[in-house]
Amino acid sequence: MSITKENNDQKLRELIRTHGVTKPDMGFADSIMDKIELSENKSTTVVSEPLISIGGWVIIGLIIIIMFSLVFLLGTPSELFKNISEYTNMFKLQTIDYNIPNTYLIGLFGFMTFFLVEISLIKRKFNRI
Amino acid sequence: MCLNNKMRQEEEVILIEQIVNGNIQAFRKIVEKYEDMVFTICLRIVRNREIAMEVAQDVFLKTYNSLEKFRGTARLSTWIYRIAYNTSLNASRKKRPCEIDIDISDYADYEFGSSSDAQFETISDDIKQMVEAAIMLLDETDRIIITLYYYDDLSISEISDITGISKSNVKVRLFRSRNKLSEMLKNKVEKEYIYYEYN
Repeated sequence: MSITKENNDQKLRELIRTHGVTKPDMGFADSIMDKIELSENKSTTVVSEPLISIGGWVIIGLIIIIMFSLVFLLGTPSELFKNISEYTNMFKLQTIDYNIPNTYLIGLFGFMTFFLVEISLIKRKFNRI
Repeated sequence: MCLNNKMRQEEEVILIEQIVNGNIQAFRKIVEKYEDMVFTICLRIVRNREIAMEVAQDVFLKTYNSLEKFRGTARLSTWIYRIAYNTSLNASRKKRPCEIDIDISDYADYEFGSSSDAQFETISDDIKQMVEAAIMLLDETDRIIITLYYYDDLSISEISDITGISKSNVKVRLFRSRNKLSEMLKNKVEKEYIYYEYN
């Protein structure tokens, strides 16, 4: 029985099918599945809900813009509050005498800005965890 | 045969849908089905068992991560083998010469041990080593072509798709490798193969 041209192909096919493939180590599939599960778990922990939604940031931004534009349009912060008190008097509302120093108001704006910046830093820290 | 292939392809598409929808464990079936062939492709190219294990793992991770991109126009096997072939070639280019533990020259003078009274397992191991040795003496791409053609019954067109070589070139390479292999195995394997077959 010699390997003739006619059955050459069949013989080779048989030989390669039976002996021509090398198996990987035991537990190969398990190690791949472990890696996949690990990567899936990692990707789920990274996902986090934002503390303030995009809409929230828009509203906060609008409030700040309105406050600053009022200050620049109507004068210094103390003048602004005086104007507001005059406006409330028109409707005969209870008013108190506003006499707030500029430094206090600037400090208040500064604190608000600092607070908003702080939120984004806290958010970033949460994401990292 | 064609109907079987179609059914197999449909089963694979269902399996892929399950994986994409979050059933990670369904991917195990794909790994178990293709691990031998993928590992063989990697080993034939990188010629180092440890590196081949790493590359084969990388192949399956890449396959998993890009399953959503699989459109089902080709067979899943063809797609996975193409990833295996390209990943192995990249790994082979990065590899240092000291990391090759299968030296081609070791195979050139490979001979059977005296196995006239050996057990079947020994003969089977001998044939396996001889077939492996003969395949490793072929050109890097020819090793993959001959394995894909004879082990997995892939068509010339599919092999061309995997290796990126034209169909006519695949045919030429297949013809050349077939003759080389036959010549190498003719005298060495036949005697042992007949003994193994009839005992």
